[in-house]
Amino acid sequence: MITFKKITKTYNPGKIEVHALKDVDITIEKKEFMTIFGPSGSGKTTFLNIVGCLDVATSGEYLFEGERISDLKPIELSMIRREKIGFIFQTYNLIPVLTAYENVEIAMILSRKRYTKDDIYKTLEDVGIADLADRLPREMSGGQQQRVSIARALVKSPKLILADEPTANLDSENAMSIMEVMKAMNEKYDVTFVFSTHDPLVMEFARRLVKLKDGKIEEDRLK
Amino acid sequence: MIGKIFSLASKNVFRARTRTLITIFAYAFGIGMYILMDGLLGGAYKDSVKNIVQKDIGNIKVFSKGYDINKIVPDPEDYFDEKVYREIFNKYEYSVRELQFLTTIVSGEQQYAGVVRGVNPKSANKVFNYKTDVKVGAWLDSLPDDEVVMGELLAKVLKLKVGDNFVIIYRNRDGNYDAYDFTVGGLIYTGNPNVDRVDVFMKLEKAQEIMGAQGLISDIAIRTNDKGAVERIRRDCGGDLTVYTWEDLSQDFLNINKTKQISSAVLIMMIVIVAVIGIFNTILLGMFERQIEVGTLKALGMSEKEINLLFVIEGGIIGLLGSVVGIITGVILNIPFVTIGISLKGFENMDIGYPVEAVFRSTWNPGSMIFALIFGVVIAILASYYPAKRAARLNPVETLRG
Repeated sequence: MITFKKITKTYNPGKIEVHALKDVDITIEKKEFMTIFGPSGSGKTTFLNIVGCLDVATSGEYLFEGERISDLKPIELSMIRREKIGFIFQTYNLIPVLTAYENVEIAMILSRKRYTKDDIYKTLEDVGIADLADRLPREMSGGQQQRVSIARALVKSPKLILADEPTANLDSENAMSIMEVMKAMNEKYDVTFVFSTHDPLVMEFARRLVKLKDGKIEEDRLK
Repeated sequence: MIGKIFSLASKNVFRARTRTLITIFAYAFGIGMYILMDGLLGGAYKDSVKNIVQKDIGNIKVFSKGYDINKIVPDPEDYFDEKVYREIFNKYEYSVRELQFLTTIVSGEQQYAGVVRGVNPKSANKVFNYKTDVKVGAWLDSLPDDEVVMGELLAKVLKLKVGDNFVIIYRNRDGNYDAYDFTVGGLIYTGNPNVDRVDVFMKLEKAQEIMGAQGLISDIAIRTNDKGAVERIRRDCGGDLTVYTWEDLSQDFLNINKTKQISSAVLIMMIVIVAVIGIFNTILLGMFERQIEVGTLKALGMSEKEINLLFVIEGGIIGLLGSVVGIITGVILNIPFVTIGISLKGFENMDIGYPVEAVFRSTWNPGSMIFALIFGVVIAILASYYPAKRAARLNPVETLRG
């Protein structure tokens, strides 16, 4: 589904250059539940940003379902994100003025896909927070907010969900619970999950582990 | 989609409640002042025009060919024989022949400049409805020939009452100075200071007699709603007479009105600029505070155009609320000025540039309110456009980093 060929990302080209990714080659298949880990500054977030079409590589070729992403304009990248990619953030990033239901609904609206209220409630039910649909983010715990965030990523039936350290702000109990939800969704809907983490317990959930170091893939193994 | 963006924008507007409320009130203050000033100036203009047309000039005034419009009244050499044109002006039911001349009025130690207006009492009353304006004494038609009706404010300056005698000094048609004794038979208060402070009314025949201008008049004033009357009279008179509209003869007033409108518009514009800076600031700060949110929306697939629209709608909503509150404020402030009016009593001798009564009333101008509403929203949208554009161009990678 995803192919990186010699992907390089350099910040400040021509000045004091910082190489976030160096000649990364990787292929991610459908339905994978993959973690990307490594020390701080190893390039995990840059990797996820490029996979998620939020950023573009300085050089190399990126193919998403066979389509060359490297050549797309910002509006075309935006269309890919809204239709095919879901995001889960470390700090949840819910819209504070919207309820749990509305936070999920906005992803559906932006995807331009047809939906009913039941579709939203079903997704909230999938992540175990249907009873919190009318609550604002400030009325929910961190774990509950992250579940809303998962529902928001999942609702539009994307091909890929990217999660940048989704459990970093949670206690271990909540972190495990969130990982279980993510894994269950991966299995139930065959959606590909790629997530970054520092936590060895969280890594245990992954079926594929990719270690980045200094912008290069140091290790890539299946469990 | 637009509906959802609008819904989100309306929820965002009150996230920084205090800041938004201050902006709305600043905006409302500017719009409210505009509504009030517009009502007051409109009221002053309306009352002034009414006073000029209904109490002093009429809609049309006809002079001899040589009359210099810059002079207060025609010179004696500009008088003309009204009989020659009687057929033309008899067509106009509401017309009055006048003989006007400048005079100095002397009463004991007091003396004051004024204008004598010799008129046919019945015609003058028909055109200007002066009889109802007589406050003390009577109108000319009930007075002997050597009694006059004087503007109440003029009489006050000269300390004259009904029954008092005074002398007028004037230059007669031969160019010699002459004097004549009169008695105050009535005091008139028309609400037009140009009449109440200046005019002394006497019967036309008496004015012609003391002026040595038998059968002559200085002008004819006509009240008519017939828009084609000016051209028709010009054509009928064949160029022997000069025909002016009230606007031609009130250029000073119209210029003052224009100047006051411009200066009040400048004042209001300055208030609005301050309010617009408030909106600009509110949206810009909102953009800085919500960078992560903008990044998230972009990650979810919201386009630059939609993010731009989100912030512009927020500005528009603030502008709409500010305009509506401003219009309501303006209306509430204007109510006492419309119902009770502004009293200029005690300031009758002060020239405010408008020939208005001691109490003049503000007006309602629905057109200005609609304009204020549209203007308020459009300006707010324009003010929020730049911060909205900045928000739309935020790099999601950088904003999501926090």
